[in-house]
Amino acid sequence: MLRFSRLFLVSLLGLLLVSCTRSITVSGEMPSPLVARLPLSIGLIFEPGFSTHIHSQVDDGPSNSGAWEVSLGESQYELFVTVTESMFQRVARVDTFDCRFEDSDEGQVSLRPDGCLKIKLVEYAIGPPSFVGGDSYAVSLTYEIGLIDAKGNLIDAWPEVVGYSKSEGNLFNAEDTINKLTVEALRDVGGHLALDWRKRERVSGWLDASALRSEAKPIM
Amino acid sequence: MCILGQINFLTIWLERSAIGLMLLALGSCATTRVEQSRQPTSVLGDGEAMVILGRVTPRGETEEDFTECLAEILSQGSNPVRLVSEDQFKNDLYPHFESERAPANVEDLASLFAEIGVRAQIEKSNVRYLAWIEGDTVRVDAGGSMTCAVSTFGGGCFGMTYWEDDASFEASIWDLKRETAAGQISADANGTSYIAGLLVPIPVLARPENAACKGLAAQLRIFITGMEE
Repeated sequence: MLRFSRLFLVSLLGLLLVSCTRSITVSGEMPSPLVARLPLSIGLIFEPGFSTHIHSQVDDGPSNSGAWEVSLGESQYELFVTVTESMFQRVARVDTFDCRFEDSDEGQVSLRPDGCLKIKLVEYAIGPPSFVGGDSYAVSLTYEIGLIDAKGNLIDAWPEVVGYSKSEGNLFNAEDTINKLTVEALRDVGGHLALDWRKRERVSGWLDASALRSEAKPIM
Repeated sequence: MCILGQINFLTIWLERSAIGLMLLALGSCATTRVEQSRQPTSVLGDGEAMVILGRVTPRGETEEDFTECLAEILSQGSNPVRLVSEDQFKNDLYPHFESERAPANVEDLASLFAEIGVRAQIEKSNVRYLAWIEGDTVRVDAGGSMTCAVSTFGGGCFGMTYWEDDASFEASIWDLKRETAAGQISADANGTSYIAGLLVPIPVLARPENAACKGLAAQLRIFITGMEE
């Protein structure tokens, strides 16, 4: 009887913990940006697990708003693919680590991308009201974006591409608020990539040289 | 005799409560003040549209409920205004109208229109006016007290609580065709809400934000169409 009581109490505690964890699958519109399309082929290199990334966070601050589990992978992958497809004439995900491809066939040389973007999620954080103040939530996203040429040389490293959004939350539906803020933060990152990335000095120099040298090639 | 006395007491109590509630209801109405400053400009032409955008300020983002209220009122009536939704406009012009990047002043429109595809997209959607909405509703006063209790003999609430809200919003209207500021409209509404505890809590709510929305929408309609509803 005692054993049964303990088992019941443990199960009840487990249920309570699970019920305090708020789960979100981020979903929202990621439109194509209005930008000039460059006549280049770009390979996208994502860190392992990028498109399936799930963020877990526990708020043990004064408000103790519980635990968060946010499925971010699909949305962040969609963002980078959508934005780069508007920026470049050809875009494809590549499996090479450093943008180099084997010289297996002379005829294949023309099929390599002109360069690669290496994309890594550095940080995703949810700021609860106890941290932000009032009834407001905030979401912050930070990515690292590197530009590698076809020979594997690092041309530019942008270590902190930050997206941020803040809003008053709904006490009864914080999940909707966090989803909305995450989508806004992702779109903010997309704006930096679409408009600000090409103005970086080394990127600008490489883009000018590459665009003059070649037409966009199909990617292996 | 005892029962008749109780019924008489109840009747008198109900009469006085009704009078009290009527007085509260009158007192809780929201008062609105709308002001306008306008530059000489054209009204909306055939097929031209307006977009209503909530401005993000250091105080916070303008309440989505308010901009939605404006859009709902303006798109209805005998003189509806053709509107492009905020989400559609932002998506069509992404990323130029995201919160961090949106033009802060009408003088920024020139550099915005120099960006690839922006002018063409705005012409395609035929958006003539852009209305930036900024403001919020704040609580300026509150007081009173109410007690609710339940026992085996029954329950109820007694007392009264009140709060006063001030809704202050401003619309800055940009003419995208002329790349100039067309004018500004501001609406300020103030109202006091009550909850009277007369066995059951009876709310008498003023809705200053709703009043500000209606006032601002009416002026916006006249501003850009030259006609009332």
